[in-house]
Amino acid sequence: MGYQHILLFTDLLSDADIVAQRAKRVLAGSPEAKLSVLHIVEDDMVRFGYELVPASSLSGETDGEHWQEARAKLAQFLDRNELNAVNSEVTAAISNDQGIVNYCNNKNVDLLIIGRHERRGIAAWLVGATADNILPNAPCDSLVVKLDQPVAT
Amino acid sequence: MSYQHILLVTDLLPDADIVAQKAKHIVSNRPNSKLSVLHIVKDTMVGFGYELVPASSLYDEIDDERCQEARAKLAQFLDRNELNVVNSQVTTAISSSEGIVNYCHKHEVDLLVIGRHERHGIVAWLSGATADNILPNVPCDSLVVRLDKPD
Repeated sequence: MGYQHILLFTDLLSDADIVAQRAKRVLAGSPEAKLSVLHIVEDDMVRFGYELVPASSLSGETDGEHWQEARAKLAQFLDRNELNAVNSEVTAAISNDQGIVNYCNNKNVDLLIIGRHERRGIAAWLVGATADNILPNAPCDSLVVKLDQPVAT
Repeated sequence: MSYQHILLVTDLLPDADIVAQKAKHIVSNRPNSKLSVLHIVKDTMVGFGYELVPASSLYDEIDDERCQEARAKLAQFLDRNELNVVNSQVTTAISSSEGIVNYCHKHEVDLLVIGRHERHGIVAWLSGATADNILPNVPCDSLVVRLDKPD
C-alpha cells in the first residue's frame, strides 16, 4: 500500500532543498510512485463579476517577468536536487493553500510534501504557515518537513 | 539522512489501524529505524485555588483506572497490527498536543505519524484537530494521515 502520486510543494527558497531531499527519500522507498512538483506564484487579482480571480486566468498570459523567473528557478531546483518529476508546474492562485488543495483534488495526489518554517509569537498569529492552513482541507496525507526560521528570498 | 526514531501517536479509535499500517510501511522501508507508540490520556483537572491543576498532582491514583484501560487497548492495538515497537507508552498530559510535543523532545523523535479526522464548519472551529495544534510546536517532521469523520 505505497503512495502512487506524490506532490512536492516548494517555495523555491534556499532551504527548499532540504524538503526536496526528503521527497527523494520517500520516492526511493516507493518505487511505483510518481513525483510532481508545484510552485505557486502570487498573481495580480482582478475583479470578475462578484469574485476575485488571478489576472492570468482571464488573459491567459503567463509570460510575465515573475513567471519566467519562477520557471527558471524551478528548473534549477529540479536540476540541483536531481529530481525526476513527471510533472513540474508553476501556477497562480488566490492563496498558496487554495492552489495546493485544488491541485491535489485535480490530480489525485495521495501524499503531499511541504516544508514548514518555524514561526513564533505574533508572526505566527498574524500570517500562520501555509502548512497549517492546508491541513484541514488537503484531501490526502501530508508530510510536513520542519525547517528553521524563514530565510530571505 | 533517513529517519531513526519514528513515533506513532494513536487515539486507539477503530480507524487508528489505518494510521498504524502506514507507519508500519514506513518502518519496513527503513531497516535501521525504530518505532515507538504513544497514547495520551487526558488528565482529570480539578480547581485548586485560582487554578486548574491535574488531579494526579493531588491524588496519585486518580487516573490509574483510565490508564490501565488504555494500556490494555494499546496492547491489543499493537497485536492486531503486528507492530514491532521498541517502546509503547500511555502517558497523562493536560492536552494531547502537550504530551506529544514533550515526548518528541525527550526521546529525540525525528518523524511523527498521526491521524487527522475530517472536521468541518463549527466543529473545526471549536475543537480543532490535535494534528493542527501540534504542527507549530513539534521539533520534527510529521506525517499527517487523512481519516474520515470521527465516529
